[in-house]
Amino acid sequence: VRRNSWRIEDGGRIDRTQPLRFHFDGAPYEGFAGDSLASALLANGVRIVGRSFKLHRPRGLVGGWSEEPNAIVQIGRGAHLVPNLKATQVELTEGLEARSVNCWPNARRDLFASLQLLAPVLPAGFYYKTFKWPSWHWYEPAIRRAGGLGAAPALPDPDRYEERHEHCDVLVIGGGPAGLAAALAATRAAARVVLAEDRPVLGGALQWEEHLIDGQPSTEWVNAAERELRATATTRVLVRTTAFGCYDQNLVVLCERSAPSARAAVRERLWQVRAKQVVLAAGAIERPIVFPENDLPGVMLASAALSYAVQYAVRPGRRAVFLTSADSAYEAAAALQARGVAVAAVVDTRPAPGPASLAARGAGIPVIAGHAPLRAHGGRAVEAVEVCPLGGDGHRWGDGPARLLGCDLLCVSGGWTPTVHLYSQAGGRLCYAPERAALIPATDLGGLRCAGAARGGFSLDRCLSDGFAAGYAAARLAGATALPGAAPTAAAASLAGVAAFWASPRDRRARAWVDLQNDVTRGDLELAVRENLRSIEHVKRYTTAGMAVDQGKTSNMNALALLAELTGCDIPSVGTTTFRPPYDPVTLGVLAGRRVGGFYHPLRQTPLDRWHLEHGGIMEDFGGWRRPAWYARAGCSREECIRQEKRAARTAVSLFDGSPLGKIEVRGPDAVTFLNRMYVQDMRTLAVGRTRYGIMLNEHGIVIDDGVCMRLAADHFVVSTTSGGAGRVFAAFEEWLQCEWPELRVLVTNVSSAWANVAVAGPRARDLVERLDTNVDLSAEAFPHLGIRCGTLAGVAARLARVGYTGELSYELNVPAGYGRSLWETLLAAGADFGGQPIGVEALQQLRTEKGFLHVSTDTDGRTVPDDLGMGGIVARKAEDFVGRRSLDRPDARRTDRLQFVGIAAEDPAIVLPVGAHVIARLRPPSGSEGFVTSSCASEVLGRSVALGLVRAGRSRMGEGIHVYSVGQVWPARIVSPTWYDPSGARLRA
Amino acid sequence: VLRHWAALDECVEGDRSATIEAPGLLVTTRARHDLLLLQGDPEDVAFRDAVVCHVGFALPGPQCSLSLGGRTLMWMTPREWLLDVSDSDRNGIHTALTTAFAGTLAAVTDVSHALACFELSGPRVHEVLMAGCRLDLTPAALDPRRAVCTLVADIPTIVWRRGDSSDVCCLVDRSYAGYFRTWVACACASVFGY
Repeated sequence: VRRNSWRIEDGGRIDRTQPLRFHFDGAPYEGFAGDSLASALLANGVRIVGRSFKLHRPRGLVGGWSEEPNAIVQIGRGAHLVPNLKATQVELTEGLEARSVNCWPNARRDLFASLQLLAPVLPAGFYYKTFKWPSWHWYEPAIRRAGGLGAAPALPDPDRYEERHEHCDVLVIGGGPAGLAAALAATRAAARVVLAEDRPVLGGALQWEEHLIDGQPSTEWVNAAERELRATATTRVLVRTTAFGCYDQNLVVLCERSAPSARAAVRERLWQVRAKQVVLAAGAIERPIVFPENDLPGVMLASAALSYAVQYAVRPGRRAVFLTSADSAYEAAAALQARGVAVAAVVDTRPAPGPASLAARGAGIPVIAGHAPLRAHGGRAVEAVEVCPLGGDGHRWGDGPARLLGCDLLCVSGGWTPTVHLYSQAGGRLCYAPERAALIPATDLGGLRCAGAARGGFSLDRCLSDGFAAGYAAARLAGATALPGAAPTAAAASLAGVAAFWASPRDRRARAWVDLQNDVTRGDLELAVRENLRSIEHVKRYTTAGMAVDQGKTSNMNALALLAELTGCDIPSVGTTTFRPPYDPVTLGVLAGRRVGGFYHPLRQTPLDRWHLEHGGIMEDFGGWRRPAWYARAGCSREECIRQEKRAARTAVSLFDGSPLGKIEVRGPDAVTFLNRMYVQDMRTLAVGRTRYGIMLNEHGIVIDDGVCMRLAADHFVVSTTSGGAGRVFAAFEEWLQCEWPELRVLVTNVSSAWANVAVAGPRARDLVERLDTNVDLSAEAFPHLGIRCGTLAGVAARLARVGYTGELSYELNVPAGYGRSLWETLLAAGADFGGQPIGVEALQQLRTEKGFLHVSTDTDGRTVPDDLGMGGIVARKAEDFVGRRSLDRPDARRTDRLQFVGIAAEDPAIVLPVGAHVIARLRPPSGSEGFVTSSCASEVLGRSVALGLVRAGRSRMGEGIHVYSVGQVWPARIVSPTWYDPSGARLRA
Repeated sequence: VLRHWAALDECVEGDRSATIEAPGLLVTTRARHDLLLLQGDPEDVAFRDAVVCHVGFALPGPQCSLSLGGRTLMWMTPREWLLDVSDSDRNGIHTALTTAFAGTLAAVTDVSHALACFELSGPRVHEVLMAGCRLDLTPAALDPRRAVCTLVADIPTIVWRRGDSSDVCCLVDRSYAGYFRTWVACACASVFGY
């Protein structure tokens, strides 16, 4: 085990009493509690942490948090494998297993590194033009294997994810100095506050920068602020929480990662926060400088080097050179030197760095002003940097010799880029501030304001005052009225001067890297411009700059500044690419939340659900309802069980749980007029006590539902819809009534769940129902087929309808849902001597297929009109208008060669044609489809297979021989009537 | 004579009792409840008068409820109110309203069997419900006696704060009773961290 050879002897916010062992690329290491994986690797001298995406160049740590472009790792194994994490954001835990990605066998020795030899033929967009002949797909597998990032786990995710909704007056995003000040102000103003911080601890840069705030050390001020916020009941403090999306009306979505010790319970939690006001205090990200070989391991952002040294007590190098165009690097240089890192020089691109350099000079650090890096030198890590004097305009080399500075750490600071992603997602416009060399928010939005570094205020005193003012302003706008007191102040204003310097003057012989993660060089941008790509959006897509895991957090600004230079535009004219959620990658698991397994979608249960399960019901999802497909019986196969169920319906009596059928009450003086407009069939002639089958169309004339309209009184109907269609039919009723026909005096009520429905079907159905105590005359004369009666059944109110779906004598018995199970059990007991038994959905579907009853959405599709179902005559005879009628007059709806509903008889009666099999026009390919099989089963009662289907001009081709094709097999068949069983309907009317 | 089964008795998963106990939360269910849905035009004087006459008080406004003498009337939509008559004669009121509404564009429907009623009590009720509800259900935001029709756990739910305490009553479609009960139990695990 390698142990912390680069660790600073004391200091840091790590717990040295808690050593933690971990593995990286199979090798064992040791770190401490409080380390990130990145800091622990650095403490053990691991310089190469990954390989670049395209060319597999060795890469080291550049950043300290989400901006990190290189250290992409996957952790864990098996189902717990998590790919594409940034090592900078992974908290070190005991036994952690991490691997680098996109390399083999490991990042240190990657055999794919030989791809660098091919770099000249792999420029930006190479795959668009290099691999065109003979086909991209010849090369694609190899290229995809060579590229790419981590592997997705092959096993189901065992972790639990949760979702929470939160409302607040003020949401503060970012727990650095500005965010803390904003949260304090809003909390003291008595607002309801949520503070979300991305990192495991509050403080932001105050974790590694040391200042005095309100006369106390900044770390103590952070601790005091956290205590105050957490002690306030109306303030919620969330750490390890990334605000990754901002949506309309201030809906901000946060991903909270549990602390390592709590991940077993809930790994991540999605917070959907609806805030009256949002304060975005997300800080700023330091910017690298583009110069040749700037991707060597050891080239690091100055702020990152500082954070490793101070927060984690790790020496990022032994001899450092700083390259900067900003004041902030001087503080970092002094802090590193104080921790034992020899600072060879601070190279400042500005000819007169100003007062910031004085402190460094005072500490004995040489300052080389007006110079820029010519190139970095080194093989697998930086060994030296060559710097040259700049000319007067800063864009050309000046006169004077180059200087070679030996170093193993090159700290770079090209200024700061405000983290404005969520501001832009909310619709905010950015403007370029030349004095800060940054794009900053142009204005506050109605419900969102930026504060601190996110607004371009890079000094600590500015962050504190700006954050406090923003928090108070937001609280006031949200309605809070208390006064927050005075803003915290820093003891001395830190310096925040910066000059725009994006890249060293061009050296065509060397590659200068703009986007490290995607291997995009300055030359790639030039190539894109040469190929006449001008929009930053196009350049991004062509070069891939700003894509992938880091989303260009360190590269976007340099890329657009260089594009401005190459196209002769100014930076505001170039603009930015669109900021889209997520700000930082989030797991698919947290987006799914708890909507997995049984919560994938709410499944409805009938009043008989428990009975079905207790009696062998094999439950499946049918239209959002959990229903028995069939009932398992000992020693019987699925097919045999279904056959027995069908036999009971055809020869004795069967019970079917039809409770999910939609039931909609339609009442009012205009109820009949309304239903006559909603259904194709004429409802005006429907007598009280009778029912009528009806099909419903949408405005395009397409069949969307069918059901039975039952007339209980002159102004009172009950409409029975398909099980899955109740909700949409009810919604359609309401929409037409509210929006189109408000003059109709009609009330509709969805009572689908109020009633349990038991369908009793079979030749002994009447005998069975008669055994129950009822006041309804069940005789065929008094209660004929398609009748509806209200009465009592076994002492409870009931509605009895002589309708069914099996083709047999049937009664649908409706009782209040709470009595459903009792009715079912009573019927079963009463019908035991008849051989009565329950049937599932599969048996019912086969029974109705034998009868040729239509099943909407199985035997119809999104093109079926009434005439396709043989109902053209009904349409023609109906005088009144109805929904969809106009569309039936379109030429296409009147074509005679449309797909029509017919029976399909296989010539071999033993062959059960597969559902979905196509009717083909020619035996030899190519053959177009002439239609397809929609329903099919073996029929014991008919002694042969039966099938239904939609066949082109089917009704005019009765008896015609056809061929049916499926998966390489062809069967001869014949077009027949869809009514296979009891064509006269005598059994129904028995 | 047929036996009455409560909604949760029909479900198999987990505990058939609705009772869930957690720190700061107790979930129970009312086995029997009597609910009538009143539909009519609130601008219609005859409808309003019939309600006052037979229910005993006037129609509440949007998202509000009124209770008196063991009866509660909850606003559902601009033309629908839910009448909870658990302590009085459901059939009597049903018959009286049916008679009063005859010949008018108003209706009363017995929905007692259509809905399952969960009683959630304790100071952390809102935290559990807000694991699956977009509305602000904190006691500060959900006024006493407010009734809102919303989605909880992706299913239509009537959330009714019955009084000054933080206790709420959730009414869901009977077919979702088992799902809702399981969901609440899991939400407790999330909120209370077990």
